Amino acid sequence: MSPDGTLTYSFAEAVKASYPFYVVRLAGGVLYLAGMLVMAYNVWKTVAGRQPVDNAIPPAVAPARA
Amino acid sequence: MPAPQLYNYRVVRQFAIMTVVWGVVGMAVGVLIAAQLIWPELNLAPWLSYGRLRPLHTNAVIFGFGGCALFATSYYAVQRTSHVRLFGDALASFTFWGWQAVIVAAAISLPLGFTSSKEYAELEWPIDVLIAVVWVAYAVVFLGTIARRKVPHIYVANWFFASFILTVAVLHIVNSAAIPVTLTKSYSAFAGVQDAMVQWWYGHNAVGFFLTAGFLGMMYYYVPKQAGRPIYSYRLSVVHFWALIFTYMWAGPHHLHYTALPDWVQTLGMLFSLILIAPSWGGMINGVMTLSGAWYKLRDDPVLKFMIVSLSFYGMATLEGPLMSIKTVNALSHFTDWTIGHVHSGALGWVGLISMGCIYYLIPRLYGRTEMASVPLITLHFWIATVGIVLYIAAMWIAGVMQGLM
Repeated sequence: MSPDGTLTYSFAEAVKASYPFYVVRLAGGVLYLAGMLVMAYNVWKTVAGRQPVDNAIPPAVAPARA
Repeated sequence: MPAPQLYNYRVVRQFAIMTVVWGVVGMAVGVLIAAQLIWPELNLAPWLSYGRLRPLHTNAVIFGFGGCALFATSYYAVQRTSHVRLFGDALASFTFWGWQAVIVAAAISLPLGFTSSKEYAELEWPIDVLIAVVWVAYAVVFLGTIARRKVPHIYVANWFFASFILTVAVLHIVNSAAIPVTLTKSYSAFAGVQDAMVQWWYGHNAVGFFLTAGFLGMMYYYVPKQAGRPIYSYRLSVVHFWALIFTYMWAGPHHLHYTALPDWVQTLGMLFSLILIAPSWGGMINGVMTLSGAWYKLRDDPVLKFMIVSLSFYGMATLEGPLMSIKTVNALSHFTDWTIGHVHSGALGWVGLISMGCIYYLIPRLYGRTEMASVPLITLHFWIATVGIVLYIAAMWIAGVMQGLM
């Protein structure tokens, strides 16, 4: 801020200065999305052609003492 | 002897698969809007413009990806810890199809420009009504299962899930209260600063309950299971549960610093935000320390890596949040990309990684396998996701502080 209370830089200047960081942010986002695609592929390979399995509920046990 | 009763894994499978699908969709939209900030030419059409796609991104990742992960993990954990089949097969199925309808409706209506303009509650009133109906059904299924449990004790994960379900119902119904004008347009039932306060009471508790309490429920079931160790301190889990749900309710005003909201309300919000460090770190410490005596498992279990690193991000984001809620810090950070970085350290780091870890735990078990098709690919996913998060949040920290100083 300038001594007279006005802002030293305009909004457009702040946007311009943010540019390189937006590129890094995009790179981070692309990596995160790539990870999600790896997961989708892995899940597909795990479940394709498999029969779903529903486990049995274990028989009731004697209630524990309070 | 009658055939043994089976758990309802069908609805868990459905939600688990859709977690992955909405994750890919929501994150892809996120990447697109990040690119639009660099190349504005990518705003190809009105329905592909940043202003309409940004709420689609947040809705798809929070309610699509995060929501489906919460449904899947809570339905699985409540059955396993209650030794009983999920209450109401048809109702559980309705929650699945109803929730998918909500997300599809969001994916259509938001690009078309229909919005209530409330952040994280942009969907117009007919979709809000559907959300409320599905959510009440979710509460009936979940609490109905607890009511029929064969185990005397209600495991702590279920307390977190139940508080998340009940609170989100209250938040959603109050904040979405609106006067409909047409099928696609409504006006909030509140006006002026009251509307802003209700919105951020909702908004911050959406973070506190949807994105925190629910995922802590996940943590309390799946971290001990994957680690093969009991919770570090069951007493701590109960203490920080009550502290967390009591304190979060009051933190909303920190979103409205230096506004028309009365000063004392802003200070109250800041104070409760600072207090929140304690219960948040209680959960983080409890989760991480569950590995005490079994740290070696982190070396070659990538699923455990997901879970423990997610807790590290949780600890970091819940320290950063209270700091940003201090009025003087907020004067610098508000309306800068620091906020975006903070949200993503919580969303990508905590919510994303813990969900992925839990889905990696669930998928093989739901299809009669002992592990995922490829364990090395889980390790690969872990590392590219972690590097991606670090790049993202470091860039936004620097950009945010710079913008605040300019």
